[in-house]
Amino acid sequence: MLVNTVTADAIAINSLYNIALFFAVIVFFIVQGLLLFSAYKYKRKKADELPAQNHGNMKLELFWTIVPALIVIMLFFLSANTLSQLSGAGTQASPIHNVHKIGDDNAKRRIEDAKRTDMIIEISGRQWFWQYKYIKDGVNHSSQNDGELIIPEGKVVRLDMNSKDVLHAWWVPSFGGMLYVNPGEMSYLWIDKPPRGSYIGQCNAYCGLQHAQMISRIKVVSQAEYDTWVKLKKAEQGGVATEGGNAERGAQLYVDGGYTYAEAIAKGDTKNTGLQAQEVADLSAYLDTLK
Amino acid sequence: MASISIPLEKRRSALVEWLTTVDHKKIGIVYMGLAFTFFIFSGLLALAIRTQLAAPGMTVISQEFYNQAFTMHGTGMIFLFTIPFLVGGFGNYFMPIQIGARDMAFPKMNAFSLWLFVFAGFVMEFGFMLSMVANATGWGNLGLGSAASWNAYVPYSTRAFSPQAGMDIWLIGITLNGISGTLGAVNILVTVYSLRAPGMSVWRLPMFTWTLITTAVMILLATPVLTAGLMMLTTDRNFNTQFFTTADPRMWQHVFWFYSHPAVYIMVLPAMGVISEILPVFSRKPIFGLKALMVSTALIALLGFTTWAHHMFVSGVNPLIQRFFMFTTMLIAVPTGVKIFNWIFTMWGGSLNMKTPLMMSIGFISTFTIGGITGVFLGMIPVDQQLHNSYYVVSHFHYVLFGGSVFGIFGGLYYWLPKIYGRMLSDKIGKVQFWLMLFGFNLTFFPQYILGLLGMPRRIATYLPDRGWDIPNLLSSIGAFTIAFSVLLFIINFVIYIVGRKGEVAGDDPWEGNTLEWMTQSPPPEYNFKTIPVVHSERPLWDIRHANDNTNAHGKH
Repeated sequence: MLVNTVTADAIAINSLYNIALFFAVIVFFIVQGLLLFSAYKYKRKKADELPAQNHGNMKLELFWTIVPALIVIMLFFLSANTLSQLSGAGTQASPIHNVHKIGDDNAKRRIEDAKRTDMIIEISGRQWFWQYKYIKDGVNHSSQNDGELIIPEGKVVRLDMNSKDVLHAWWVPSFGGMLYVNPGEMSYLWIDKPPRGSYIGQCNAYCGLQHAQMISRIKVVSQAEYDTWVKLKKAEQGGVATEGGNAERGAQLYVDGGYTYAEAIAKGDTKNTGLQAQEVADLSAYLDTLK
Repeated sequence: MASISIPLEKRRSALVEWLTTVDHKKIGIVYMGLAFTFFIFSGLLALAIRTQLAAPGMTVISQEFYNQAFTMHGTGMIFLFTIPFLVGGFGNYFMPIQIGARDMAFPKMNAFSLWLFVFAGFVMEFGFMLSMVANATGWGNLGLGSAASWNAYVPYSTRAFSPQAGMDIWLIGITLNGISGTLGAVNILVTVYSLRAPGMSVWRLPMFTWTLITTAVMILLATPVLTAGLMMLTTDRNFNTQFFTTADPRMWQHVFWFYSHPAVYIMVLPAMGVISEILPVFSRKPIFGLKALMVSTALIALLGFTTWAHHMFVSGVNPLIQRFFMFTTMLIAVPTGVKIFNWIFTMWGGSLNMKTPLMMSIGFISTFTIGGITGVFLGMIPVDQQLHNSYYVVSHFHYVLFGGSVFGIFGGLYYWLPKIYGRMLSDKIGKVQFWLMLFGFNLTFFPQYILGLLGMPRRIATYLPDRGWDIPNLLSSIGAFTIAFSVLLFIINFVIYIVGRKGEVAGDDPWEGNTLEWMTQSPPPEYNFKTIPVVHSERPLWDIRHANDNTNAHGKH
């Protein structure tokens, strides 16, 4: 893998990839070598030459049936083994299904038991941004305007993901693993004790016009930095500064979030949009100009 | 002197003749011509895509058009070029001659398939083209193009998220195309079953015909599933049915991939058949392990139906079921590997006539091998959890479908056009085209493996400069234009040497062919053969050429 792999999951996938690459390189050189050699060696020299009419060779053919079969069967078992090492994957015999319908309590319980988890972040995929809801700390955030998903280092973070519209897929290459985020279902991924740093991911299921802009930036910070951020964020969300909205900034927000925002404001419920108070005021001001 | 009046047959104009023909050869030519036109058009869309991605943050084309462009590039290449060219074009023209038949079993149905294909292609592309022109000239958005990507995943493709008429037009176009393909498959199967020349037993079928039969079986079993799915999605969109809108979110994906995974083999098996014809002829040897090749073709077709959910390893399919699909997916590498080694050992110890068809076939083996190997990587669930939908996948299937099918198609064109038109293409231009195409192809797609490993998702209209994707993307775009230039060389070659009649006269059998199409004239007369030939081995023409020498080793298999 060419990305910087930082979690145990990403490292496990990477080493599996490298084992497969080892065999792939051998097969590659054997095939290309034989191909180029025969293309070079057996060029027609005389117009009327007649090579031996060889129809096949059972032993050779069995050889190149059985050996590749053994290689892929080995890779199958290695893959199954790696699979059960990944976060929350369960055991070989009873793997855990990390996607379930909303409201399926049994499935949810199996997820709860799958892996010890330090914190849960609820993620909603929307055309074309991610909303983050920190369950324990009661903070809302989103990937809009380059918003970063802030995570404290060394924690096992569970992502409880759902889509509010079409299919999306969560993928941060450095953490390894990817999962579709479906409407009406919960999808779970773990970020296993990430080290400090900035990471970047992107929606990886085509979701419409601005699919390319559905980027997720992740910042893993120290616990102290995280705590400060939570405090600041809470203070921001606490204030009710709906006065003095700027219609121009609101117009830009409308372009970014569109109907979703307008709907939320019309209903008077902006909690789930990840909008900050000032932004709500700006948007309201813009929507007023439309009336 | 008494005069006898003989009623003259009323001669039809050329146009009427081409529009109403039921001759399998003419139908094949129309298929090839149209499919090649769609190849050029879809290729131009690829150039638009590659231009946009050459550098980060480009706005050469709008995001909206970009999304339509990759949708139509994919569907155009698959449904309007690769499948119709190989099955409708090569298949229609050469399969009946190869088995010593005078036409397809159902000539009128054959013509119906053709014109349904033409109509479907028109439906699929016309709205999109109109939208494109309207956008470019500032008439505004007509909404007649689809932008749901070729897999049209629900719910994005439902009315709620893709309300434009273009989505319906696209669905109807693919539906009609599927019906045309299904009828064609029936025709192929019945023809081979009932119209073979005397002596042509199963093991004496030419490899191209054999791959065409397996392909037809796959089309017959897979395409109606997609067609039904498309119709259901269309009624969901227009008549408020609930087939997919309230179903499990993976329902459409299962239906779609149940067709679309076999579709990969539908696109590549006939091309494998083409190079399996070329290799023994240009090596002056029988094909190595004929039965193993035929059985492995059938096994690929069979296994091809058991692997579809490997496209859904990250969609939320039950993990135990995923393991089953991982196993079948990895297993399919085995019969594929058998074919690759059998092709190489067909050349081994032969007397290689290094002409363009053989070089294209060698290019096929070389590039297809890379596509096959990376397919095993993607079949491993943990690796797929990292690389699904990334450029790694884009590169993988282009190594299979361009590296395989397109090299096979060009190999077939250099091999068979002399039969169709009676004149040779320039081998010099052909070789230049081959090297340019091979170089351009690898320059385009190898960097895409790197991009996938660097975390670049497919189907994004642009990317930010801080991702480290700039250089591989630039290389890839340069490669795309190199490929375009190589295809242009082919067109020049065709125009000068065949249309312009500059090419040498081919004669009946310019390559010392093995199969029956080389027995008749070039171009073949109506109804192909004056007398139906009798077949004694899988190389009937070899038998005739070597009737009087001792080297004919058909006794010892």
